[in-house]
Amino acid sequence: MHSIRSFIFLLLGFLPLLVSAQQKYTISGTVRDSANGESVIGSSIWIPEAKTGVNTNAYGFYSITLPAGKYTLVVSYVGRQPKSIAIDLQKNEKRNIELSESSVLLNSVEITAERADKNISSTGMSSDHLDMQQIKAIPVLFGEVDILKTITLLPGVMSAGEGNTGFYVRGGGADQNLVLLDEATVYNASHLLGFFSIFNADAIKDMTLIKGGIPAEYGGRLASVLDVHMNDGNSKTYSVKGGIGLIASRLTVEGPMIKDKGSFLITGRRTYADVFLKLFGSTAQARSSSLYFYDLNVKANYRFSEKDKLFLSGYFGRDVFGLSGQFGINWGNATGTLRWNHIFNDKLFLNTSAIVSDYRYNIDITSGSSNFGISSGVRDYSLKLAFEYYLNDKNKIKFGGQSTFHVFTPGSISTNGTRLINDLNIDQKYSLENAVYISDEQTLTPKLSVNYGLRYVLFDQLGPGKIFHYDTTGAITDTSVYKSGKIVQQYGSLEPRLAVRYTLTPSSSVKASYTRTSQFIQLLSNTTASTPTDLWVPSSNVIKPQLGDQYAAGYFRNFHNNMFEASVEVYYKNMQNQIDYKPGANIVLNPVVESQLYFGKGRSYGSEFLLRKNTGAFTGWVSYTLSRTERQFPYINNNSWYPAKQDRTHDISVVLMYNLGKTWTFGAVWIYATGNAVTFPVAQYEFENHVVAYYSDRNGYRMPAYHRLDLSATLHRPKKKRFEAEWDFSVYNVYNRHNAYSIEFQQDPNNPSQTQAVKTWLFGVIPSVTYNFKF
Amino acid sequence: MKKLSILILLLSGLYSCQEVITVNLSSVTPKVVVDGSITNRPGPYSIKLSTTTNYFSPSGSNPLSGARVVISDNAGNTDTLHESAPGNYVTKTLNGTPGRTYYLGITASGKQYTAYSSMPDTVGMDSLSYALRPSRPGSTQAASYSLTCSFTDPATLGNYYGFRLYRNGMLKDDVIDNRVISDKLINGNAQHYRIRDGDLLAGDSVRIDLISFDKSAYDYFNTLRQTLSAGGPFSAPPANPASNVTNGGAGYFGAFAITSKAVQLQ
Repeated sequence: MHSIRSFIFLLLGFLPLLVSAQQKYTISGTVRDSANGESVIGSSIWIPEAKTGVNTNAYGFYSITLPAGKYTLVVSYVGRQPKSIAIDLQKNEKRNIELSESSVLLNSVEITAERADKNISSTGMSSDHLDMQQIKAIPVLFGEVDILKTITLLPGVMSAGEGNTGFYVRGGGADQNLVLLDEATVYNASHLLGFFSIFNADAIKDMTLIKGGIPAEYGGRLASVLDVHMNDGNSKTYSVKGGIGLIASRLTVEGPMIKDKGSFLITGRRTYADVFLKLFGSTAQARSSSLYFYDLNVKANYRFSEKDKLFLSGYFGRDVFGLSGQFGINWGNATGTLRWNHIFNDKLFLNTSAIVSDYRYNIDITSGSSNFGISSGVRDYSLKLAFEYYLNDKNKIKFGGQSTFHVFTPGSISTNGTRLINDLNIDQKYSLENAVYISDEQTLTPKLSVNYGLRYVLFDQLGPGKIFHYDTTGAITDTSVYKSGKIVQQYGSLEPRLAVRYTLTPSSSVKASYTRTSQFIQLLSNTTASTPTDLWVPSSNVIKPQLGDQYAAGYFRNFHNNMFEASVEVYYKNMQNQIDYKPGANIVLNPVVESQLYFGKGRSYGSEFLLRKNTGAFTGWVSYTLSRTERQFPYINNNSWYPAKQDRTHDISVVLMYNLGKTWTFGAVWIYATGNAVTFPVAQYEFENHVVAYYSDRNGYRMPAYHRLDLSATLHRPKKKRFEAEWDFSVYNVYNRHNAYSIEFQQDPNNPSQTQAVKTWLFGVIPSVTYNFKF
Repeated sequence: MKKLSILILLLSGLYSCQEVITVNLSSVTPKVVVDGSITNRPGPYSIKLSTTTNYFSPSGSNPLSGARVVISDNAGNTDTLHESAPGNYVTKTLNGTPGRTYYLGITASGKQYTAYSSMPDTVGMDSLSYALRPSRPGSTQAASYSLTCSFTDPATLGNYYGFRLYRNGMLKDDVIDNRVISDKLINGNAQHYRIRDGDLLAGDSVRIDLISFDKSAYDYFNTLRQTLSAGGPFSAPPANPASNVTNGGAGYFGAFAITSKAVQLQ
């Protein structure tokens, strides 16, 4: 508490600096792409005369206030021709700027940061902004471009495993990442049990991953924020693009609704594995099975005036799997966001959003004459206000609030036909999460800038419902019934955020940050692989909110006129109220699921190294993470620290891309990671004539190390009239490494008295080809 | 969750493969294992004692001889067991009775181990029927016998069941081979537990034991069943089932209330 008080004093201490009264004017406007009218997020506006600059916000809006005088605006963004605009600032100016694609061809691989030295000059640390152009150049499984796989190549980010889109950031669990699609929370970002993510590359504009120094406008998850923006739709002309791949095909239609006033975008994707099953399935059962996923992204926007713009965006996706007449399961997300951008004046920007987010799964089981269905899910309704106030060239203030009503449906069973089991309706759970925040990004001296803020969250577990109270063994001691809207349990959390940058030389800086985060909803998943039936549960009278404190520091250095970028970051994080499971815990359809949990704490620390080449025909990066993630639980391993599932000692990624003339682009990715911590049997005994394994301490052993090389080549066909096309060839796991997906112990078929270890591996070498077009 | 693993198998059928690998496992100090129960059937009852062996050593029990084993109940009866074969200890006078709690005391190599278990009331079996099921269309499986064991769960919550199948007097499937059932979802309903067994033939005499036990036995068998099938990506991280034997012992000492019905297959 003491540290929070000093933080508030610090905040108050800076306030007088905000009030200044010189003769100053403001330049503001929106940066768009000249070809399709898409707003450009995070493009840099740099004013060399004033040695200051600003980045466009999530809607392409910028504002900068300077003393009267003559200036040059240098506007730049990855893959776009930089633009210089001379301006004589004698009054408030409004400048909308259009950037055109750089003369280099479509999808050229150019990993220029938004501003060449942004990594040095911004207060932001531990964050990565990736444009789709960069992501598309990296080879991937089955040729399906996937942002969730790309981010695992960044330092401090680890893949949850092969065939799994889950990711771990700085020792956080897969459910500790806030994944946002146009501001809507995505509860399950995976298709086909995690082989693919729900993000269709054709619908995505860009994404930002923040793993430390999280700004105050974000909250609700412990480890990271992945903020994904969808394309707005071409506002200049109609266009169609698509792709045909081994697994799925994609089609996008976009165009203006009213020229330069509004535009729309519709993107769809569907897999066709089920078509192959029907044609080539070896058994009748395989032929009558269904197995596919699809997703649909839609977006529309309309500009009412120079000051008001409305956006409507939606996502709908489903996975369907069924064995005819026996078993069927479908699951998926739906999100909808309605946003209203309002520019009050050249300094004050407001975005108001109404958001709905839904995740659910349904299972149908037929057994003889009886039939029953299970359904479960979570739904959020949110309202969000986000102000950005460009006070002057030294202060950019953000403030706002968000209110979210969560409805959890832990599960219900409904039966038909012969009744073998009772209908079951586990009470829905309700909670309200309210948050307010304020932050200021302030330039104190040309060398020193800070971004400091506060976020306060109030979480209410609400009735109606039957609330159970448990003793330490998990037995129910008491049951109380709450009426609708009645507060069962309330938690408040004050989250200070601070990031500081000090410039050492024009090409190097040091940064430090402190972030407190809290998390009120968590995913219960006690299986090794992620499954659609993993259950989201809110904090309650039993489950206390998770708290995280992260301290990070880093050194950033650019070489050769920003051609090379290098950084070293170290972090330490402690996590409270973490969750683990009792042996044999039953998560699915358990009315007393809270009795199946253990509570403990976690810690994670590590260092991350990045060397990146940004310009030239040859680009790419090398990242290395050395880290440790541990947990301590009273009933696991006698209360001693043990390695968490997401603990990886070493994690290396090498990404290389090469541009050969105007037609060919080549890519290569090599990754290496220490194997997961696992529990193995160490002894055996006989019980009721069965041979039973006696297990080691939790996570006492390691899987073999994971490594893999992928290669890709892209052939760009010359543009004919409006028609552009490209062929992507890629090879996954080039040297056919049999990376262990799981290790099981079983009887040796040749010698039944002996046990042997059997490794399952998923993907050997897999070549693939994808054809993309655009007109 | 089994069906989910079918999905992943279908999905990765073209690509995934398995191979035998070498895993180095360290050895641990042997633990004492208890395997035995008191039932409502007439005695004598036997308790098997053994110790754990290294995981990759050839399987087979490692009997624990020369232990002192005593069982008593809450009605004041005490019975000191005698070792009839290495590691096999049998009672002399004890008679298992539903409603009583049984205490097991073991002294082996100077260490003390205890366990206790309560025997619930018996739940009667309403009927045991059977049917000859023709093979499924398109399936290679031959016609096989399906047995249905019907019973009515008592109205009170907190009943737990296991099953044993005997063929011509020989134990064929034990409690671990069959499912264990909690009445959490089925409380008070008539139950029809089905066992389909391709090995049963016309003329076989078949008996099914319906076993009632307490929650701690249910938890033990439930976790043990998961442990035996653990290791796949859709299973929970494996863990040792919670033994009721103190002092670091493994295994389980049970008190089972059994009812049976037998039928001759035609």
